[in-house]
Amino acid sequence: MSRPRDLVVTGLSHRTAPIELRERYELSGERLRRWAARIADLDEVAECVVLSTCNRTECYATGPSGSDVAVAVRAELDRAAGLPRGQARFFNLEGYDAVRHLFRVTSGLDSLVIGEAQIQGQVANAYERAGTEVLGPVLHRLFQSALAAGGRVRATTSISRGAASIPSAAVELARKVYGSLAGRSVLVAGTGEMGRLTVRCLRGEGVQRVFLASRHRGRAERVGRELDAIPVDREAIWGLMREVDLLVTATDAEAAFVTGNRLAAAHDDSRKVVVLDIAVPRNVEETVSVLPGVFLYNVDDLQRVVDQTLSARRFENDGAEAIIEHHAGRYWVWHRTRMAAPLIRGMREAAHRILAADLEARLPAGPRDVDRTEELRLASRTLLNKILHGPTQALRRLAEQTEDEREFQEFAAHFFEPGDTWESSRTARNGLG
Amino acid sequence: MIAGLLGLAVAGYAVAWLLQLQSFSRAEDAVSTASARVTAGAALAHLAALVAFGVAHRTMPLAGFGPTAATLSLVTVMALLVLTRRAEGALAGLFALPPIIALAGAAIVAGLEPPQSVSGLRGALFIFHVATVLLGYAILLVGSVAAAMYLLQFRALKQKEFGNVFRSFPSLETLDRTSAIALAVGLSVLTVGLVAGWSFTISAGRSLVLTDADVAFGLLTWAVYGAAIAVRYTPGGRGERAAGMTVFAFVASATAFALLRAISTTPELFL
Repeated sequence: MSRPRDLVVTGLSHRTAPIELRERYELSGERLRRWAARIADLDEVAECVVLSTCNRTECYATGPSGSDVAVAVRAELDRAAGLPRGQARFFNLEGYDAVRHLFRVTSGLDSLVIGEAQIQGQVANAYERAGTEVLGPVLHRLFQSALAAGGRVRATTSISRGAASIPSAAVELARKVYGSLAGRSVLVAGTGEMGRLTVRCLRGEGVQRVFLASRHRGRAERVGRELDAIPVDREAIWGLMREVDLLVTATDAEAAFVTGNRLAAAHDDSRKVVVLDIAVPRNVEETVSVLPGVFLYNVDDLQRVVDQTLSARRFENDGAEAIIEHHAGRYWVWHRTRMAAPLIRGMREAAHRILAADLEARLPAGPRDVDRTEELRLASRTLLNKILHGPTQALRRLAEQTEDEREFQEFAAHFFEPGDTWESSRTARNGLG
Repeated sequence: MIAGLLGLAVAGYAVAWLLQLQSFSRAEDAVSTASARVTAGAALAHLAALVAFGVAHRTMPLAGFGPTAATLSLVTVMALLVLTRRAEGALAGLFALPPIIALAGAAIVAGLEPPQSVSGLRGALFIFHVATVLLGYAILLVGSVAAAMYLLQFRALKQKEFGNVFRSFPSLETLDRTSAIALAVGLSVLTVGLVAGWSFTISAGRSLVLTDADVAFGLLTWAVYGAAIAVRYTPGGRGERAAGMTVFAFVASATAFALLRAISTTPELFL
């Protein structure tokens, strides 16, 4: 196994590439498996995890040389996309910047909609998919730390709270009236995309019955099958108003057909009903909002909920960044101390070899007192361990504080150079990860 | 020492209230861990004060305005903690802690001494009467807090004001259910307490005087909260109307408490 020394992330995201390009580079399913297999065969790459969503395709990798890793990964990404080299504008981050980037991505700070929750699951999936073939200790710990930091950010800040899209704002408003939406009934007027999206969101909240009203019965039946909804005629709306808890209007009618008078006649005052008018032009008269028990919201109201959520999330940004810095810093200290491990091991092995050889030479020839010899060996090993404790700690501290790994290796090698026997530690240094 | 411990508890409640206010200003929808811990810590200091009272005076803090107010405020804190254990009770302390602080503060000002001039206020029936009445008041107070929060959330939703009330307060359904349950339980417990008080009076060979401040306050509170419950069972009475009536019941009983205490001839009792 080659040494996973440099840590890099390279790829493209919504910040660097348009959707047309991101689509070409998206890796999922069989395509992702084939790509990962090719990456595993590359000599330049020791470990690799690819995070591919609709907003980003990023490859986190380690290898002996960061620049070689980045070049190799980009070449494979271009190959997978079927595009010539240089067409896509890849971003490239190394070392702590790469670590911090993953922590920010996992926490949702780098998302198109700041604080969005799905990315945490997508990062977890990418990490689990990587498997043992292309996942080693560096990326294993990196992803675990990033997921923990993401969870911490979401638990201690409001970065992921509230509704950040029109359909989720509709759900949030309904939940503020009813609490749980489980078992509730919804009447949807219109079969457009926005109405369908809203129904899917409400279904996710446990809504039990969905009635779908359309002027065209055939379309209502077709979309009703897709959404598991009961198709009804447009005129049936009034009869159902005493049964349903939510009315969602999303038709292309040019004038408001839900008027105050019609709804007042159809609605039971003792019941609450949430009316979500997501059509433009509006399907519901504003006078409806004064009816007892009726809560009316149009697209502008839903947009205000979304805007306030995003504003509140931006307000939480500094707190989230501080958590990320803390967790990323801890990971980075661990990562840097790892580069001291081969050197420490080499130093200790060399010292113990010297001790064993020296002890053997000094022991008298001929029959020996076995107990006495063993006692002497044990005592000298204990003494050597005590002597080596200081240099070991010093190497670890040096590793923590040194930014450049090669500089550290050179410095440490010279500092502890004990002659020819030290060559073994150099071998160990070059072969251990 | 007793007043010192109670003072510490009041300071803790004030800090917890400020923390909840901070959570509200940041539009959070749950009590922060710090606020919950400070409230629980203050409640422990409060309990220690009442235990110290019992040890010092060899009597339970159930007679005299100071001791009774201190006990009532602790019972209310307990009811609040039970409520905030559930997500629905989030930020209820924003409304419940000020009256708790006022009651505990009044107890310190009035003095934590058992009444000297009143004899015969002891025995299991008396303890049961005062304990259940105080528990009833505490639960009714928590129900009133839920009703006040309902009215504010209702207004925010109806007026489309998507600010801190909208984000921080629970749903209308949750607040309505919490208030309804608290009122039903609180009034039942208060009824048992009042009946126990009546039995205690009879067993002590006294006659029940309806114009006594304690008795009048108990009966008035029972009546106004009873009316608030009754409103729920009228057509369209649930929700806004029931919440309004519950808040009115709280305001009426609090006003009655202040007036009766001002004109009472036996201020050393609970009133």
